[in-house]
Amino acid sequence: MPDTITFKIKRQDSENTKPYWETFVIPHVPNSNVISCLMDIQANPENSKGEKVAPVVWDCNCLEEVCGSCTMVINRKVRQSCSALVDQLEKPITLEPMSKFPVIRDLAVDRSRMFGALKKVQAWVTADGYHDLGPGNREPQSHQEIAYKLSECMTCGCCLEACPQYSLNNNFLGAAAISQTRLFNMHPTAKNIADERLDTLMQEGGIADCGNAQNCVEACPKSIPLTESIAEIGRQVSGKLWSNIFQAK
Amino acid sequence: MSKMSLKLADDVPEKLFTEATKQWQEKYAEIKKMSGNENPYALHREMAEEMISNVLIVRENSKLKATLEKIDEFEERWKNINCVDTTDWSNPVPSFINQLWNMIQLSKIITKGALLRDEFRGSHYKPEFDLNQPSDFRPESYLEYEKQKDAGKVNEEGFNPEHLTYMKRFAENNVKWLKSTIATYQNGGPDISYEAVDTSLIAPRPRKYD
Ligand code: SF4
Ligand code: SF4
Ligand code: FES
Repeated sequence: MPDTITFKIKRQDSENTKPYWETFVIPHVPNSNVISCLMDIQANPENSKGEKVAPVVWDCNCLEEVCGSCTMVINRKVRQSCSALVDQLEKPITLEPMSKFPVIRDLAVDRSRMFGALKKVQAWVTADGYHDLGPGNREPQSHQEIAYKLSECMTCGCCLEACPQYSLNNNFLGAAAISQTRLFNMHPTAKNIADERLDTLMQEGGIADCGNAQNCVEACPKSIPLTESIAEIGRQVSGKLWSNIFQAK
Repeated sequence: MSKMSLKLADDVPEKLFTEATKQWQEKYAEIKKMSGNENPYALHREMAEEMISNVLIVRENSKLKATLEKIDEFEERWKNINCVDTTDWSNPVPSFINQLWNMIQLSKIITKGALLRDEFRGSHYKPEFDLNQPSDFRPESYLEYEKQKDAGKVNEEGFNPEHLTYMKRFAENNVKWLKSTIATYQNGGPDISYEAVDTSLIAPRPRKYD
């Protein structure tokens, strides 16, 4: 019997149509990953019943687990498909789109809400104007280790897929944006609008929506210390609350 | 100073946009009608394997020539593609087929340019045209050699004789090949010409491969 691999893929033809499962059996290629298998399906788009079907649609870009675009649910666990090695996965392999983002088609989802959250917390270095501002402030050595780790976030969505508080129907900004707030609030130039970022996180959908389930930190493929970030932003927010109260007097 | 004419998108006649839209709509409609028996992704994979085996770092003219013929075959086979998905929503197949055509054209440019260049430089190696750089040769000594040449007299005794003959070979090779390859699309394929390289800022020197 030829060496094959079976994939069960949750497909959806468009945003508003019903999802359905389709099975594909492809030849086993040693050292393959989930994306190379999806490419095998593209090259011969035939399901296990022998029917010619449209190739499966998915997203990918870097193929080295740094862009986050290929994130999907593989054997019930959210992760990047480019770094999911087939030989290490239980068979048959199930592939599903993330459930916390609107499906565009098949395994491709729309992660705009994550990028929207980064805009809301102004996750950028605020150096405005066209004139020469001179050299920026230096990043203190003591920050570098943690800032580097936080900067590895690739906006993949694993933390949100795993979070019980994040859903298609609410407006929680989520762990990734909270952690990015921590990164930019410690940046020597970007911290000048730290208060504005905290204001955003004090509103609806902000840090108060986090239930502290800590699923996010388990799910993050970059091992970003998300619960520490949430605790740190929690402290910054309480500090600001107190100073708001005193200022009001 | 002459007055700069600032042209905005609004100043461009609407026709330009509508015609471009129409052109691409027609092109995609044509692609969607393709109902041959080549799978575009399988064809792409086959071409990639061909290019990786023959037009990578080590290049041989006989293989480049054979690959060029192979690419012509891929171009013929492209016409017999099956547009394996003809739906209208978020369908990546038609644009992939369109890109594959462009990849075929680009492969021709790369392969023909490499074939016509009877030498190698940069990250490539053509064993047939190895200039046999002596293993103890230091690239900086070439700069000294060029300096003396520019000053009008090379003190030949000052150089290791083996190095000297190598440097002469290198200089001679540069007269012919220190040029950029230019490809122009002519009669369905690339026409290759050459253009001088601006070396005014960094003097060219041999590269060491170890
Ligand atoms: S701690 Fe829990 S509730 Fe808070 S963001 Fe992480 S997973 Fe969500
Ligand atoms: S914090 Fe981790 S899991 Fe969340 S988006 Fe960033 S990289 Fe992905
Ligand atoms: S393709 Fe970029 S993370 Fe997988």
